[in-house]
Amino acid sequence: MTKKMQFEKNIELSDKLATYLVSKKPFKNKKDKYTFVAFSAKDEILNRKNEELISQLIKEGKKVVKALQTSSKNTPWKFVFVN
Amino acid sequence: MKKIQSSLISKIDEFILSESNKLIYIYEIKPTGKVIEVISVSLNIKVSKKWETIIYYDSTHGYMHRHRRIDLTTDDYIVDQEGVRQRGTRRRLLRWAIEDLKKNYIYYKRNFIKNNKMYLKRKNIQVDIY
Repeated sequence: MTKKMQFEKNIELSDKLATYLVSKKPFKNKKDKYTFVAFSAKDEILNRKNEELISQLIKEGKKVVKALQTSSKNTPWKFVFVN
Repeated sequence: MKKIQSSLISKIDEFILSESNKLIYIYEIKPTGKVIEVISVSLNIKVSKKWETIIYYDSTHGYMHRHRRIDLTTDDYIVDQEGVRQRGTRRRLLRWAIEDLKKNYIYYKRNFIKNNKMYLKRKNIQVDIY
């Protein structure tokens, strides 16, 4: 997968994730600044590329959250706090 | 990116797009925590291990502006509304901003790199388009 494809797929995923975060407010009581890495429900190649981004973000001192897209309408995203 | 002045609480989240690109959303939260709204979205790129905002949109004054970073040596932006959607709720305006970034990020990024060509050359810095 090229960086261009990764960028374009992630901009779409991030948009969906941000919409969810705004409408469902799963972190409304948390004040920290999080860095989200979105993982697709279907695109394994994208997910492998995105997994590679995490270690660098941790090195930068970011609080990383893996946002896992699901196929469920009720809970379209699950969150894993990496550090 | 300049801090947004507000009596409400601002929350910042980052969304990684690739090794050298990320989006930053700023939400405005009422003290009750009940209302959360996106008030700004920016495209940030990595330049020599440092994240730099190159463009952001905000609707803090009720209508949307596009802020384009002039160069890497300053934190100054050109503010414009040319072709920027003005009417609608904040949510609709920010949705428009995301669509604009999706369509035009290459243009914005190439333009920014072009404007900083001499600086990047002098510092021997390579910037990935993606």
